[in-house]
Amino acid sequence: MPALLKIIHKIWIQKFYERHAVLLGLVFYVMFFLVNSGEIIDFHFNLIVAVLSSFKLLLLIFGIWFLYQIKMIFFFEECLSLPQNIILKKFELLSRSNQFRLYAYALLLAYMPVFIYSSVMIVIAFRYRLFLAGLSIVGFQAGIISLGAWRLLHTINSCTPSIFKIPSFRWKLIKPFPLFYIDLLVNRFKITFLLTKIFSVLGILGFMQLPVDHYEPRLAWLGFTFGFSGHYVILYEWRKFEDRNLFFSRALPLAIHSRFVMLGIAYALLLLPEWGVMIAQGLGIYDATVGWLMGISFLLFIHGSSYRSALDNEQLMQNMLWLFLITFLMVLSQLSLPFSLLLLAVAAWRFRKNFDGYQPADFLA
Amino acid sequence: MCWQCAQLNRPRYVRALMLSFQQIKKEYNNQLILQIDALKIDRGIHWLQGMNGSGKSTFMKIACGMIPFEGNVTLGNFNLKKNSVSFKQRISFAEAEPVYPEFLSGNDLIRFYNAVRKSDKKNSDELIARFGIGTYYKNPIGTYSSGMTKKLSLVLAFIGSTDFILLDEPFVTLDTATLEILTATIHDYHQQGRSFIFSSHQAQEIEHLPITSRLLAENQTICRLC
Repeated sequence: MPALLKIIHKIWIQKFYERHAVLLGLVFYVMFFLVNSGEIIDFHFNLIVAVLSSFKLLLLIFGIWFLYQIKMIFFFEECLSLPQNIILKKFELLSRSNQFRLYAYALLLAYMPVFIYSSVMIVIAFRYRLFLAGLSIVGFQAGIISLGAWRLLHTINSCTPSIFKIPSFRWKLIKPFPLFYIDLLVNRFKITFLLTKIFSVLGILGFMQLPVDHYEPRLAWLGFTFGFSGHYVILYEWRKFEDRNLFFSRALPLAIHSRFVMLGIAYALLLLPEWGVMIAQGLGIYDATVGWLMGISFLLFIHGSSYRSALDNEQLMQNMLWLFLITFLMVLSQLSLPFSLLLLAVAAWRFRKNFDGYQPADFLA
Repeated sequence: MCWQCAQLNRPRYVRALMLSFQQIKKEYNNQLILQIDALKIDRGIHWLQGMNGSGKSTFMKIACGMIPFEGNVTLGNFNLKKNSVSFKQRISFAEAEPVYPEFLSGNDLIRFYNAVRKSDKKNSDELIARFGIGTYYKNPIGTYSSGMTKKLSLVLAFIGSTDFILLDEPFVTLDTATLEILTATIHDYHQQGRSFIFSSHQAQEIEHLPITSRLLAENQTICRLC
């Protein structure tokens, strides 16, 4: 076993933390260094109690943790697909129970920052008699690690990576180009799609619960900023889809502005449910549309930026984090609409500038 | 003149656009993949020969605007970089190993190509019947064999009224019956004034085609053999 643990450490854990050092560093900075050092314990204590006391906020936190877990699984599966890591496939020779323990251990190590914070939350929950919230966290963490280990167990022991047999959606109507993207989600990334939407909607609902004494659309926009940023996984899969399966379309007579508009339509369709949720929650149609436009512009900007060089997950993630912070500040500063329009214009310009000159890393294949 | 060229039976050309390459350079990771100082390809059927890795596929991908490159490619008055849409409206390409979204059906792609290439349904229906894909083209592409996918890619390449049709290894993975259909289709479309550039290692399939010229991919460049 020690030899296997060493392999797991080298291939999965070390690489995971290396690749996500920037993201984790940023989160760590936001969580622990933006607050005055003298108030940091009080701040986190109050934050944890507020989360434990509100079921919706707790759900929001679960959503964020779940996305982190999905990210870990994606990373582990990506490692598995690399030819130099073929040794991981040999784990299938172990008994299923041993494999399960090994994968759960690996996931726990990668999940450690969340696990430590959630342990503090559990202690506080039990100390302040918030038993239901505390038990929910315990159950959620045990469930999420087990589910992840089960997923890895399935991936390594079978040729087909998909374990969730949800029926595929097939519509008979003529499919315009933007629907090719949506089709990818409803056929290949159903769970990711569903979780992203849940997270996004919870973001909106969570922020709209904050008590204010007047009509304030910025609360919904702030929540939606978390929501559309959470679409990063979908954006990344769409870009991979373009490189692998839609590359043929580059030889077709489509004007660059048509391609941009079609991509915009795909993102507009993707974010349409959130627009509906905002209206259903009492936001005016105009304000909901501004939020929707902001989401579309944000994702188009990141998408358009990705053609500058071969697709790089880390670079894209960093761009997204910076843009997320800027967008958040712009919403707070009541500059949502002008910022969205500016972002859209720059996205179009960047798309036009970079699209034709782009080639995927494996174009020779 | 080679024996294939001697068999040339000149058809009546509807349009006569010449495909020109000037100062083409393609590098990847600082490694030269392809360099063409000047090359003009007139109407007709052109056979691109060369060993594996000699740059045939890269040449075709450059010619159809699929990948970026240094230099200029023009078709008649249309420059690929300046008049991209007009250029691509006149040229089509079928890859050696086509990759399409596996959850889409062939019908989805055919309809998409019809719309983009401004072609009518009659044209695509005729091609569907000709290549015999009618029994499966409405199924998801993920269920196709490599030969079935290849046939679909050929149908897509023939859709519309393009002047040049580029076919990368078109005879690979096809069954004998489809090989004959493809040869006959190239013949028919050539009679209608279309031009072809195709790469192939299968000399016996090419015997039946009126080859205009042979191009050789060698030493990271493309030159005319005859």
